[in-house]
Amino acid sequence: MIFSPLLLILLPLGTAFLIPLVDLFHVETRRLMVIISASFSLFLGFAALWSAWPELLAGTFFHSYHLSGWLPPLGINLAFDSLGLLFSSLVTLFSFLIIVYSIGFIGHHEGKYYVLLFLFQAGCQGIVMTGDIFNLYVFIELSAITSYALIAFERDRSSLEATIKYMVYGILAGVFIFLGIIIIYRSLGTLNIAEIADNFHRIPLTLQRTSVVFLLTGLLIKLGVFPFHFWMAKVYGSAPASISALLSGTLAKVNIYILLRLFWVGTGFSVLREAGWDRFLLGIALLSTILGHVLALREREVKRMLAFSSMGHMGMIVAVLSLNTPLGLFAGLLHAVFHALMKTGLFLSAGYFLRFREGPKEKRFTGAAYRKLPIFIGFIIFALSMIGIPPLNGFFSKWFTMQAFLEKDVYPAIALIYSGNILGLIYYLPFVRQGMLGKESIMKQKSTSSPTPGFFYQERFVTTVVYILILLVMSSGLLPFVFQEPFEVMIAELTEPIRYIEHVLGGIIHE
Amino acid sequence: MIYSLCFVALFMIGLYSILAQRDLIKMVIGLNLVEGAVFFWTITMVREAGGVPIVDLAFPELPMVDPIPQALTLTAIVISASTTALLLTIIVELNRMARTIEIDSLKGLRE
Repeated sequence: MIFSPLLLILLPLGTAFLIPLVDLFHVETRRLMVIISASFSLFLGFAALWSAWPELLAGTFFHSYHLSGWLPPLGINLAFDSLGLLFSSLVTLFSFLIIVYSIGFIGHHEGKYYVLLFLFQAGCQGIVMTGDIFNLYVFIELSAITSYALIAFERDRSSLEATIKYMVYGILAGVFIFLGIIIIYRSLGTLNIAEIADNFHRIPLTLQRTSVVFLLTGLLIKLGVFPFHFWMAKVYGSAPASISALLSGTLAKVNIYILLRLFWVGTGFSVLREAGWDRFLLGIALLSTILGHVLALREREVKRMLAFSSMGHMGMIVAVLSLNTPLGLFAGLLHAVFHALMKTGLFLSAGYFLRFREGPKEKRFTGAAYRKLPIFIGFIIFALSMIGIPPLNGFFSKWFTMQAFLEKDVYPAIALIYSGNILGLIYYLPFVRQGMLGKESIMKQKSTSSPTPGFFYQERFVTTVVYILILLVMSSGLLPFVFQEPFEVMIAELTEPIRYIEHVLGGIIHE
Repeated sequence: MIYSLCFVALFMIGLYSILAQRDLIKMVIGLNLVEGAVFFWTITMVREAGGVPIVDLAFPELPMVDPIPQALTLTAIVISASTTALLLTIIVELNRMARTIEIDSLKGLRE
């Protein structure tokens, strides 16, 4: 790689702290800085992917960085492997798109908003790169705290209630993860993920299982899988649309990364399998799939409906990953990438329409097609992709998911996912219909939270981002085989954690 | 042993007050109890060993306290303090709008 991976964390972090300073002197300069910094960070992410591509295909991609020169396992290290690269690229791409979208979307307290957004990006990049489990916890909390503040950004009653609800769940999840980490440290005396992976089988069985229970509970709360799903609809429904997109598109996928990193590499999947908990995980994930789709049926408000659909899809990803077969992991990773594209697109296009009307939230989507037809068609394309119509990308990830379940003879799962598709068709249709109704009510721009017109504040920013997402959804549907080779490398890394251990501790360091 | 029992007791009291209390401030206290219990348990695991964790070159083999749990706890306390501050701010803001902090009278928290 041509530059240190540390830059991917430092750039958003530095920008976040510079914004309030620049804001004191000149507002227009700050606006320019936000755009430049976001583009530069996208460029860095792209350069990282471009320069790493040959190594990625050869299966030798690994970069580590030792903070202040302490070699692992003594110091904190960054361990950037191909799985990290995939999720880091996702974080970079979606942060960039959402920052550009917010330029035309957020109209009050912009300075604070971008500080939080860049801090969030830094936190997510940190999560996917760090090789130290406590460092991981710190970055999880960094992204969590910034997301709390971003959800409460509208400062109306509904968003404050949503934040309180999310914070109680989030703090509890943080405590559980911390407790799991402490149990591991107490028995092994190390915090380095590679060293934990190397020695985890030496911990007495009860302690192994206790720490896994705490870590898993914390993560399932963050993922919103069945018994802990109560925060999702309220939070996604009340946050600004750009933030809902960030939460379900980026943060949820980063949580999938943590799940993979901790339970496939850190503790080894055999701990889950020997205790029979992989079946348990499969069960609750499937339950949350069907529950999410059923609950979405009775929602009359578009963002809440998308939240429940998100719950269904996250459940499906966790379920197919918990099969722990190469095909299952492939399908899970593919659906994680594709779901991020589709769900971000859905939230962003719906947010574009919701912004234009005052009044009860259920009625705001009416007349969307007359407001801006291309964006409305985009909404329909994303919805079709979610349901799994062949030329679009959602079809391929669902296809592989079903094959993975077939391979393991989990027939109920196939029935559940298939009925999820049918239910999806049923719950997206009313919104398409609602969008085409009500021509006489011309949508009026909401006065409170729309950006002041100016060079940077044009509707064009919002629409361009949605068009880019439509393009990505359609092109990734035509070229799903691009993902095949790099994903096989990642799956090999996940199924043989010994590679990660050797890379980190064996002194094989690329500079 | 007594420390572990204290930890479990504090943790359970905290969890109870999160789940059973109908008042937001009491819920925050419960969250802090849970966090405090975990921090307490973390530092008690190093209480047996020797002196200050600085290697004395004259006696390099002297036992010393493991400094890492204390560093971890300190970091986690900072995180916990900032989340608590944010949560309390939001509760105050909500109280200004809704004039109540009872969960039962806040419709948005029950759905």
